[in-house]
Amino acid sequence: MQDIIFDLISGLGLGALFAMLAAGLVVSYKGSGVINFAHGALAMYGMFTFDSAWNRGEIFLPWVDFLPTDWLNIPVRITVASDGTWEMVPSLIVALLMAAFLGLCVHFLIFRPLRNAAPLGKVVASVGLLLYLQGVALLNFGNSFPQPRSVVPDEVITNFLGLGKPYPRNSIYVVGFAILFGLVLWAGYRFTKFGLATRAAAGNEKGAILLGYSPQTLAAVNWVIASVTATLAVIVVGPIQGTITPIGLSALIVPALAAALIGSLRSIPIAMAGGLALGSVRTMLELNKASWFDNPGLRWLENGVAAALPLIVIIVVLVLRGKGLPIRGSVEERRLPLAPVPRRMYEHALVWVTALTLLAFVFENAGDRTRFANALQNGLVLAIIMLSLVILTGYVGQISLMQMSFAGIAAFFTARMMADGIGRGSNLSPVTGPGLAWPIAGLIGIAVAVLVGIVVGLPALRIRGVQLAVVTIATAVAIQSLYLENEFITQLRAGIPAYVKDPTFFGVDIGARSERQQNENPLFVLFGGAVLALCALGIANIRRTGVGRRFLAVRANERAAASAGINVARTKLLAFAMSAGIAGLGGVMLGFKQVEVSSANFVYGGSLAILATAYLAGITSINGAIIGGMLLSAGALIPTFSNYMFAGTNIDSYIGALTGLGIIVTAIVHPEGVAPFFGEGIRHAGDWLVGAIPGAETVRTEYRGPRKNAVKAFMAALVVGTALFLYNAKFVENVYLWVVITAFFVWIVILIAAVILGGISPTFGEAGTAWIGWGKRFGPTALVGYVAGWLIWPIRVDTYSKLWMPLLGVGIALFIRSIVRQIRGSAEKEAAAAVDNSDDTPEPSTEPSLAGVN
Amino acid sequence: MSKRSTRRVVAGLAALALVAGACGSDSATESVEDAADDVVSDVEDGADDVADAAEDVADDAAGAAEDVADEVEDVADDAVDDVEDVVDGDSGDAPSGEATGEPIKIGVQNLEGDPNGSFPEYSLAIQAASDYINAELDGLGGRPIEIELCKSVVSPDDSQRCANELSADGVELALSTLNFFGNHFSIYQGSDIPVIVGTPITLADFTAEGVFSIGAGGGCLGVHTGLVQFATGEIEALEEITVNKVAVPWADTPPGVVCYNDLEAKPLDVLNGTTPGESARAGEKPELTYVGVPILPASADVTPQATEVLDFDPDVIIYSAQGADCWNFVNALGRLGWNPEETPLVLSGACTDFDALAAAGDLSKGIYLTSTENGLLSPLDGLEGQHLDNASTFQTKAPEYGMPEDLLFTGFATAGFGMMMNIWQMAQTVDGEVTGQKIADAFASTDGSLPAFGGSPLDCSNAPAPYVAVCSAPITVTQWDGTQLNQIGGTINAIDLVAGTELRPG
Repeated sequence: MQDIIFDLISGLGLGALFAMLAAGLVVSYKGSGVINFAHGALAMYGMFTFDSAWNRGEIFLPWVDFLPTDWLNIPVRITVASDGTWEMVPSLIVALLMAAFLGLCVHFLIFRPLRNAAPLGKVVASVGLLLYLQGVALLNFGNSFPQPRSVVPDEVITNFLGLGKPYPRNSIYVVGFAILFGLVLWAGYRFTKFGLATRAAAGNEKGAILLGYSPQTLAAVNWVIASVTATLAVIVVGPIQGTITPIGLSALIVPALAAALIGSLRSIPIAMAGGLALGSVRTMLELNKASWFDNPGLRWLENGVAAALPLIVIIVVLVLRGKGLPIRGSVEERRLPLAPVPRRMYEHALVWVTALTLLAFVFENAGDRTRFANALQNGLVLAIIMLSLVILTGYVGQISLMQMSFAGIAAFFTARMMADGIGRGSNLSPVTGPGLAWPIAGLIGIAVAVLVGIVVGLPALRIRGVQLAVVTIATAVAIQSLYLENEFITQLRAGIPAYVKDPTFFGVDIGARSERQQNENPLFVLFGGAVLALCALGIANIRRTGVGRRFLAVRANERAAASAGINVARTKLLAFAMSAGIAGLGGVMLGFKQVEVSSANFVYGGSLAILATAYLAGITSINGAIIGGMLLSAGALIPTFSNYMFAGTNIDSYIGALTGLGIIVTAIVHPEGVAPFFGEGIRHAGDWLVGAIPGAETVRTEYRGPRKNAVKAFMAALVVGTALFLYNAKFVENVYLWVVITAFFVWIVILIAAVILGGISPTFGEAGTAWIGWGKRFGPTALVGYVAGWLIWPIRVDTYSKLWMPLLGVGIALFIRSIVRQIRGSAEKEAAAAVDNSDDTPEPSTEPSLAGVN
Repeated sequence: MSKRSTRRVVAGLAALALVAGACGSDSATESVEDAADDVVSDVEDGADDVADAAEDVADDAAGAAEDVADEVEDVADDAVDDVEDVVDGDSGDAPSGEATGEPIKIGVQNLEGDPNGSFPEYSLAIQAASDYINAELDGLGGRPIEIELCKSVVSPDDSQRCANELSADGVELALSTLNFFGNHFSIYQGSDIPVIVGTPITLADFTAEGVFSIGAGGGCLGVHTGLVQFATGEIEALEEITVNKVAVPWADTPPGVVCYNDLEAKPLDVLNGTTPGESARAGEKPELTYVGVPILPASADVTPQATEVLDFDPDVIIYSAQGADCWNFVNALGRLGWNPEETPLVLSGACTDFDALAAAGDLSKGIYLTSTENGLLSPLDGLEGQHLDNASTFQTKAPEYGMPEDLLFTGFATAGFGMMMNIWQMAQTVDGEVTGQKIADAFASTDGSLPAFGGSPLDCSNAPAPYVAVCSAPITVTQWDGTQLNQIGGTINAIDLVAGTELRPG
C-alpha cells in the first residue's frame, strides 16, 4: 500500500502540469466558447521566449521575415543582452508579456472574427494556430529545443513522508504552486465582477449584453489570462517536463482536455483536481503495469493503458454527465459551409481519372520528373482519406480528429491478415497471420475500421461539436497506444513497421513500385484512381439521395431532423461507419503504396492535419477532397511541384507557418475552402478553351445533341488514344515538345471530327478573336506577375529559373485576381440580397440559434 | 429473369472474376516470399556468422601486424599513401587544388524543417566538407561533388519520397544521415544506388544490403555491446567496484527494441551464463542480474522510470538514447538523489551535448560517455597525431567553408563532415574514374587496415550477419570532469559478446 501511495504522489508533478493547462482551457472556453487545441502551443511559445531571453539574451516576435529581400526585412529578433544571458525576472516578465500579446492577437485576429462561426470553424482555426505556432517556433528558435532550467530549487527529500523513498522537493513546490494558482483563478472568477460577467456571458451571451457587458472585451481578457497562465505553468513545471518541443507540449492538450472535461469545462477547481488525479493515476499505472497486467487476459493492456487513460476518463465523464455538459451559448451561429449537390459527376470522374492516368504514364521513368509519379500516388491515397471527411464532417457536421486512426486500423489489420510468419522488409521479427490474398485481407481491414467507426460513433449520439472532437482526439491517442503500438496484439513493438505485400491483378503487379523499386508504377495510379472514382461517385450519389438529405438535416438541426421523423442516431452511426470505411480504404491503399506501414503514419497529429487541410481545400466538396489530397504532406503533388520548380527558394521552411496561416484565413474568410475557386477556374478555362480552339465548340454542341452517343464514343476513344500516344511517344525526349506534339495531334483529331460533324465552330477567325480578348483581359495581370516574378526571386535565391520563376509570378497574380473577383462578387451578391430583404427581415430570435451547432 | 436481375448477376460474376483475378496469381507475392525466406535463412545463419566474425576479430588481434601487412598489399600502395598522408595531416603527395572534372552527383537525405526533429547542421557540414574537398582536395578523383539535398520530415512517407526523388535525380551515391524508419533503402537498391549511412539507428541501417553504415561506433552494434563490455569490465577497476547489478533504461523505439534485446539484454545473459555464447567472457559473471526499463522518447516525465531504475539498486547504469532524452533522464535521476559517484552512469555518445553537460553541473561530473577514436569535437590542446589533424581540419575548414559557428560543435556536424571526408578517402583508393559504385566497392572492401577520418578504421568486409551494413564497431569511452571529456583507456570492440548467439529482435 505504501508503494501505491508513493506512486500516486510521484505523479503529482505531472498532474500539476495537466491541471494548470486544463484550467487555461476552461478559461478560454468560458471566455469565447473555443476549445483551444493550440493551448499547449501558446504555452510553448511563451516558454521558448522565456528560455531564449534568459539563456541567450534574445527575444523572437511571433512571426517570420517572409520578405524576399536581404535589404528590407520584417523585424523578428530583438537582442536584450549582448553577452548572451539575461536576468531571470525580466525574462519572465517579457515571456508573460509575450503570452499576453499572443492571447490578444489570438482573440482579435482569429476568434473574434469567428465568434459566430460554427464549432467546426473554430476547431479548424485552433488547429491552424497550432500549425502556425509550431512552424514559427521552428524558424525562430532553431532546432535545438531548450532543456529548461528550473526556476524552483532542485533538491531531494531522501525519505519522503517516511515512505522510504526519495522525492524531488521541486515537485512539492510545483504542486503547491498549482494549487495556489487554481485557488487564485477560482477566486478571481467567483468573487470579482469580471468573473461574474464572464460566467454570465458563458451562460447567456445575450443576457450579458443586456446587462451592459461586452462579451468580446471579456473574451479578450480571458484569452490573455489563458495564455499567460499556460506560459507560467510550463515555465514553473517545465523542469519536470524535460525537453520542451513544440510537438511535446502540444501533445499535452489531450490529458489537459480530459481534466477540463472532468470540470465540465466550467469548474476550474474540479478541472485542476482532475488534472492532478490524472497525473497521479497515470504515473501509478506506468510504474505498476508490468505486474498488474501480468496475465494472458490482461497483457494487451500493459502497453497502452497509461496513454489511454484520458479516453477512459472522458468516456466515464460522458456516461456520468452526458447532456449535462455545457454548450456555450452565443448570440448567433452561422451554418456550416454549403454542401452543394454534385453535378455532372460522371464527367468529373472521367476528367480526374483521365488526367491522373495520363500524368501517371507521363511521369513513369521520366528522369528527375519521376518524382511526380510518387507525388501522384501520395495524392490519390490522401484524397481517399479526405473523402471520408466529406461525409462525416461535410455532410453530417460531426468533427472527427481520428481519421488517420481508422486508416491505421485498416492498414495494420490488412498487413496482419496477409502476414504468414515471416519477417519482411525492415522488420526481422516474424509476424504470424493467415497469409490471405490482398483483396480479402483488405476487406477485412476495412470491415474492422467500419466496426470501430460505429463504436466511436456511439458517443456522438450524446454529444456533438467540439466535445466530439475531444473524444475523437483522445480515441486516436488510445488507438495508437492500445493497438498500433501494442506488441501483444500486433507483434510489432514501438512502431516497428508492418509489412504489406504487393497487390496483383490477374498476375499483373499493380503495386506502387516499379521493377526498379521506385514509386512510379502507373498501374497503381490506375488502381488508386479507380478506387478514388468509385468512392467519389458513391459519395456524390449519397448526397443526391434521401440518405444525403437526412445527413444534411441532421447537420443543420438535430432536433428539427428528429421531429421530421429522421432517426438521428442511425444517421450519425451510418455516417461514422461509412467515413471509417472510406478512411480505412485509404489506409489499405497507403499500405500498398508504402509496402511497410508504421504507427508513425497514423499519429493523431496526422488527423489534425487531414481535417485542417480538408477544410482549407473544401470539406463539403468532393473536388475539395481531391485538391486537399494533392496539397497535404510534403510528398503530395503541389509541394513536390513547388520544391522541384523553386529549389533553393527555401519555401519549404515556411510551409508549416504558411499552412497554418492559410487555414486560419480560410476559416475566417471563406469556409467553403479553395475548391469553389478551383471549380470556377476550371469551368471558365474550359469555356474559354472551347471558344478559342477551332472545332471544339462543334464537338461540345454535338456532345449534347442528337448524335451524342457517337460523340461520346469518339471522346472516349480520343482519351484512350491520347493516353496510348503519350505512352508510346516517349521517344521525344524533350517533355515540353512531347506535350505540345500530343496536344497538336489531339487538336487535329478534334478538327477532323468537327468537319465530319458538319462545320468548324469556332472558326479560325473567331478563335483568334477569343485569344485576343483573353490577352486583353488577363494580359495586364499576367504581365505584372511575370515582371514581379522576374524581378523578385533573384533577390531572394541563388538558383533561379528564368522560365519558371516568372511563370510562377504569372500564376500567383492570376490566382490572386481570381480570388479578389470571387470575394468581390460574393460581397456584391450579399449586399444586393441584403437590400432585397431589407423590407421583410424577420425579428431576431431571443434565443441563441441552434443552426450549425454541430 | 428480369433485366435488373440479369444485370445483378452479370455484375456479381464480374465482381467475382475481379476478386479471383486479384487473388489468383501470386507470382510477385511468391517472389517476395522467396526473398523473405532468404532473409530468414540469412538471419538463421547470422549466429554462425557472428561466431565466425568474433573468431576473426580474435585472430586479427593476435596477428594484427602480419595481417595488416598482407592486406595492405591488396590495395594500391600509392592510394593508401595518399589517404594516410591526408588523414595524418601530411600534405606530402596529397592532391590539392580545385576539382574541374565532370561533377559527381551525391544525394543527401536529411531530416530538416520538422518540429518533430530537424538537424540542418548535418547537411550544412556535408556541404562544407564537399566545398572543402572540391576547392582544396581535387574533388573525388578530379570530379567536383554536387550535393543534391532532399529535406525530409519525420514521416515514413516522406522518407520514401526523398529516396524516390534522389533516385529520380540520378544521384550516383546516396547519403542517409539519420532516418527513423529505414524504409527507403529498397528504393535505392532498386535503382542500384549505394547508400552510406552517417548515423545508423534503425534495424535496416544495420542489416540492409548495399548499405554502409560508417557512422562512428556503428550504431548500436558497437555502442550497446561496448556499453555492456565497459559496464561489466573496465569500470570495475576504474571505480573500484564489483558489478553484479546493471540497470538498463532503454529507448522504446523500433531500433531501440532490437538494440536493447539483442545487444544489451542478450550479452548480459551471455555474461551471466543464461544464454550460451562463444565469447571468452561467457558465463564469467553468474551473479550478474539486470533490469531493463523502457523509456519513450520525449516522455512528459521520466521520474517513474528513474524510480524503477534506482529501486533496483544497481551497481552501474547504462543508457543509450538520443540527445535531450538522455539529459531528461539524468535530471530525473538527480531529482531522486542519485549522483554518479554513488552509482556510475555510462551514456552513449549520442547523449553528448556540452551545453547539457555544463548545465547539469555536479550531476554530470564523472559521467562516462562512449565516443570514438579521433573524435572531432575534442579540444585541440593535448591532441596529437591523426586525432589532432582530423579535429583541427574539422574545426578550421568547416567554418571556413560555410558551417555556422553556432552549429559547429554538435555531434551531427562532425558526423556529416566526417562522412564526406571518408568518402573522399575511399575515392582516393579507386583506380580510374571515380563513380558512386566504385566508392561503394571501396567501402565494401575495407578491412580495418586504413585509417578513417574522425573515427576508427572502417571494416565493412568483416561485418557480421545480420549486421552486414555495419562498418565501424569499435568505441572508446570518455569521462566528463566538469569542463571537458577525457578519454579513458583504449578502444573497445565488444561484438565478441554476441558471438555464437541467436538473433533476439524482441
